[in-house]
Amino acid sequence: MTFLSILGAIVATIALVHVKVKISSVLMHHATHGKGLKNPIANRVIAEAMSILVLSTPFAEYKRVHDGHHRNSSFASMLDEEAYYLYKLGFQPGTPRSHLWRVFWRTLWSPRFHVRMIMQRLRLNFGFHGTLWRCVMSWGFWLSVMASAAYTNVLPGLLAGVLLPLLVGGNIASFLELASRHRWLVTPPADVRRQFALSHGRYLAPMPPHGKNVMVWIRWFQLVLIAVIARLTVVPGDLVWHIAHHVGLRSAIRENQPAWTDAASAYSALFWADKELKVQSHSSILGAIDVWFIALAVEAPIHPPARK
Amino acid sequence: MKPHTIRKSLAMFPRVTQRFWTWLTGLALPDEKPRKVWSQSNHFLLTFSVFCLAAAIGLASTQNLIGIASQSFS
Repeated sequence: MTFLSILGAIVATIALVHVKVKISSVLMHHATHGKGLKNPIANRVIAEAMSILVLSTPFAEYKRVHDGHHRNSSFASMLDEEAYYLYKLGFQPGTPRSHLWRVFWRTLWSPRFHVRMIMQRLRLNFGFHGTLWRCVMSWGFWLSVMASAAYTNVLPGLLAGVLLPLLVGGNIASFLELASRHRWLVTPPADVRRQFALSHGRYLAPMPPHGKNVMVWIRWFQLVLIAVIARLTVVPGDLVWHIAHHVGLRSAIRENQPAWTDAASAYSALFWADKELKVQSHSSILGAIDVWFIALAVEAPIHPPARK
Repeated sequence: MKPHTIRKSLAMFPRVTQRFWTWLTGLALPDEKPRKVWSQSNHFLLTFSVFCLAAAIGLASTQNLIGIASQSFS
């Protein structure tokens, strides 16, 4: 029974982190681009409701930050709020690669990082940041969940088994997703479209071994399991293909179908034919981050612009 | 090793497993038949269902572990 409970807690943690990132980085993302549900009102309502489930950023705030991120002039630069956030965490141009990796590992487990992120998520969901009806929905949903859990004496289980994975696990996965998504704060080559040049394809898979050595195959299956967990929690849905989202030249393909619902079918033919896409693709999350750190380390140091 | 090289090498596994490798890598093989594309509402519905199921399992498992821990301490 104890083994089953531990297994259940692990599976539930992976699934809850998956749901958190899928909602905050896939469903909300496409909903704010108007590519969720066809009816704009239903699109907004369902996106807000889903974000309340996982205590993620509200629609209006997400759209404001994301629209700024898509502007070609500010994309992945200090004027992009997501890039500025990474800068503040310590990922600064001109910093040695080894130091960037130290900052990376420290951030993942830093109580300060998690407390700040959790406070920010709670403030966005329970403070007035958007519309009144969203704020009411948020309070109503979470108060009723908490009250039901307290009434049935399962409040500790709710806090440790549901909220902890959603908040702490969600923070870690979202940070990994953000760090591996683009080459933030890096100057792209002048002759390449900025949004394409600074994006990564993240197609996770370990190379299968040759021969019949059992230990080598066991090791490979372990790597496959890690890739499956990373695929579920860090790059769920079409996030492996996020680079295609920033490839304006191929936007005609995106307009013809809701490509995000099955990106592999929609974009693979492009990938096999495109040399540049292959060059900018990586087979691991840490590999993509390392490529970013190498580029960031040789950049000239910059100072943040004055902000209110 | 680049992902497209790895994806090609994964084609050595049985045909029945190729859908799994396509999901994992996000790359369909050039000769792979496209599957039926899910609608947006199906994605929302599936995500909500996974949330409910995972929350129920997480709550029950953790509550049980807390019960076992408190019994062994008392």
